[in-house]
Amino acid sequence: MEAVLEGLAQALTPATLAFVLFGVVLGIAVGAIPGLSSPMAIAIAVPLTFYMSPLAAIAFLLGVNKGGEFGGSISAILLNTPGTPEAAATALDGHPLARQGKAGKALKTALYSSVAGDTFSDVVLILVAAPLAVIALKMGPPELLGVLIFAFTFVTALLGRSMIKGLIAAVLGVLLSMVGIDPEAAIPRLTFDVLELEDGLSFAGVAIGLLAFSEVVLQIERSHLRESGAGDGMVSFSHSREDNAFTRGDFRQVRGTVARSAVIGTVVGAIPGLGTSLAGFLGYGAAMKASRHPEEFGKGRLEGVAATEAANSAVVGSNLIPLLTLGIPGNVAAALLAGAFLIHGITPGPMIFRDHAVLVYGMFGCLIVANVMNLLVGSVGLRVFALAVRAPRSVVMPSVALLCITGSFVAGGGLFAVATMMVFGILGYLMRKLDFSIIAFILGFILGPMVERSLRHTVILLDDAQALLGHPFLILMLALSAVAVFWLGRRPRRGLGQ
Amino acid sequence: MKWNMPAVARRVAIGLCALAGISVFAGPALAAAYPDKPITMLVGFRAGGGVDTVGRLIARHMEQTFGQPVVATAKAGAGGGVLAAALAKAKPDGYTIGIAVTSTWSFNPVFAKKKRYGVDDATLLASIARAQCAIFVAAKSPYKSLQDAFAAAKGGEALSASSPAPPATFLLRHLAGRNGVKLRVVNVKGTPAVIQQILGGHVDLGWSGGHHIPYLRKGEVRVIAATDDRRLNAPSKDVPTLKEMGYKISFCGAYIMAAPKGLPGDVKSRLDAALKAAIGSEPVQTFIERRKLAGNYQGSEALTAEVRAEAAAWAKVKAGLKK
Repeated sequence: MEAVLEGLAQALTPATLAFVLFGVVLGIAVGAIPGLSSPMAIAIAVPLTFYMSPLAAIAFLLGVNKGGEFGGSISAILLNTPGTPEAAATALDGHPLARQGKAGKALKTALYSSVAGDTFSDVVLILVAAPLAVIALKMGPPELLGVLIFAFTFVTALLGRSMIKGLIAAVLGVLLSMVGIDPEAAIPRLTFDVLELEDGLSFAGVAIGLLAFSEVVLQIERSHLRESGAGDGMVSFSHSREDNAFTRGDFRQVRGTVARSAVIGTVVGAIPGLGTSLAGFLGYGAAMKASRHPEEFGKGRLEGVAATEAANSAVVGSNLIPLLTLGIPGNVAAALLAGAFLIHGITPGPMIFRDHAVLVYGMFGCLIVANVMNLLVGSVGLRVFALAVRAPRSVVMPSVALLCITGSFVAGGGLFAVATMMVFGILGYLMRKLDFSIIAFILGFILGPMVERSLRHTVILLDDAQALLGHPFLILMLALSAVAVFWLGRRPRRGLGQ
Repeated sequence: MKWNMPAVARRVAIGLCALAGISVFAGPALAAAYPDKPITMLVGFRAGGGVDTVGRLIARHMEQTFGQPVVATAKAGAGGGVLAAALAKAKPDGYTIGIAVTSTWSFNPVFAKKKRYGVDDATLLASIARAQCAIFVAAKSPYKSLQDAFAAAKGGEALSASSPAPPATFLLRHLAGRNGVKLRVVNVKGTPAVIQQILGGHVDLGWSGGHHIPYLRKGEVRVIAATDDRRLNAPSKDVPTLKEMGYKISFCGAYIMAAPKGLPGDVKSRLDAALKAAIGSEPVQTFIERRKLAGNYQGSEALTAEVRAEAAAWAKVKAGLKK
């Protein structure tokens, strides 16, 4: 109990609060800027934190992480250019809302959903970290495979207007994710003797290119052709109060969705290896399946924004469950946090609650503080973002292009990632033109290697089909996937715009 | 702010030369005054990890020594291979140096499908710190030694292992091969995943470069072999090394600094001295201690000999696998 109070006291010192605030502001900024993401900011900040106190360092990095989850939605909504890959599904409904003049409403929904999801998962972390960690430990390769196959089935909602085109995009994503050293045989595949390709196509390069740079290319074309659609994609803030407010009616409309997504995000975050983007996609898919108006998704449905943002933000807290209790980071951001712990001589893992109890409770305090700050900074920030959108395209787009280049350079580890980013920017442009779902591609690119790894591990570890009987969880997941396919196939597919 | 004497002297010399209108002859004098422009330190692994962090700490210290910026630049990929290939092509003038790990030069070139560089294409300058490499099992595992595990496999038990890096995978397969048993090795991304598979009971053996230590202290895992050519630090001092068990192979990683081959003697000696001071400095040593690595400064000669020997041993392993 003493440690709890001591930790909270440390979390509330002006210095720690200042670092959290600084982290949240930085996180929102890098999240909002296409081409920069919070893991990237964390990666750059980790060596800097060597000179800080451990709690200040962790508080700062958590602030960056949380701010970034909301920040990604800003450019997704206003520019149709997700600031981070996990906000890709936010653009589906967020941007149409913005075009209808409801940018203010969409942004507020994103902010409140994000903070709500985050807070829920923090509370889960603080209260029930230990039992959840035990479950995470039991997830062996066969169990993980089951979860992934089910996830893959469930996110078909994101395939786009045409099932065939969606599948082609997803399969292309899977194919290109296979570039690099074969994870089991250690033999290069699809690398064409290019050394830089041995680590695979950099995810930063691919995601930034497809999501952000392709929009730049599209805008260049539009202004060059002076099409009537040159102002297309421009959004304006309506002057009507209703369009900018988050009303009681809106709250009633999205509260169920936020709750569902918060749970999905928390569960996904607690299982190592699934990641933030998948949580966002799953949250969106589940909201669409549950909705009475699935046909309106993609055309500016508030639930679409709420579902994605609540789910991807809920990952941030629960990701710390396997990290703090087992020392196993669940995704890139958590792995970088683990690195930050290590350079302060603290090994995340089973011993941390005993050896560094004050730090852990201080960190829990910081998590909640960061949520409050996220809400405050976000609310104030909304006015600033409104200004940013009024900046002329001729200023915004070159800035975005520059950030795409620097972002892929930093996160992808060199110039090769910049080249990758540009190639995928052009691919993304073609996909947008031909109406292939970019999100389906990214989904394939993210899930492909995960499925491959767990499938191959399962095959290596199990002797024959009979050994599958020892893994009832996998069988359950496969059965659920089969039911989902049947269910999805039976109902007429509804269109979904990008 | 300390005055950097050579730099001051150089500036004075350049000023005098310029006054006398003989600046054309300043060339040789400049070469003697290495470094007179920023140095680029290529980092072979992604931002935020151990190599990147220690590289930046060393760069900061070298800046103080040289009075010139030392710019850490990302050149990540292929286990340091992208960096090594770049270094092999760079000018040996001391303005391009790099940081990676031993296996970048000892393991990667041997198993590469197409050889782009080898130990001889680089000047290995210094080693910084060594990992604590071990094979371990869950505390509740029946295997008390590596021999136990292989004996059980001979008796028909299915034996599996989890590895975070290709060299460790080859090492484990080689050990099983020498014992004539089948070992199912799964390759995971990162050591934390090895820990998860061990603690969750999904595999029997795990390899790690030190991530197992906190779990060892808590009594959740048991170390059964040191895979380095020397004994581990406490608390695993009594665990035998593979060599002591009669195997002719060892594997462990160390962070090392390198430069292109053909470095001029005077440049190399300045780099050697600056690196020795940087590695011995307080921030770097604190980092090593906090990361639970072993301090392991080695100069150019000892390091090169060691990496060469490792490369030769891997070549033998490769030949053995082909049979």
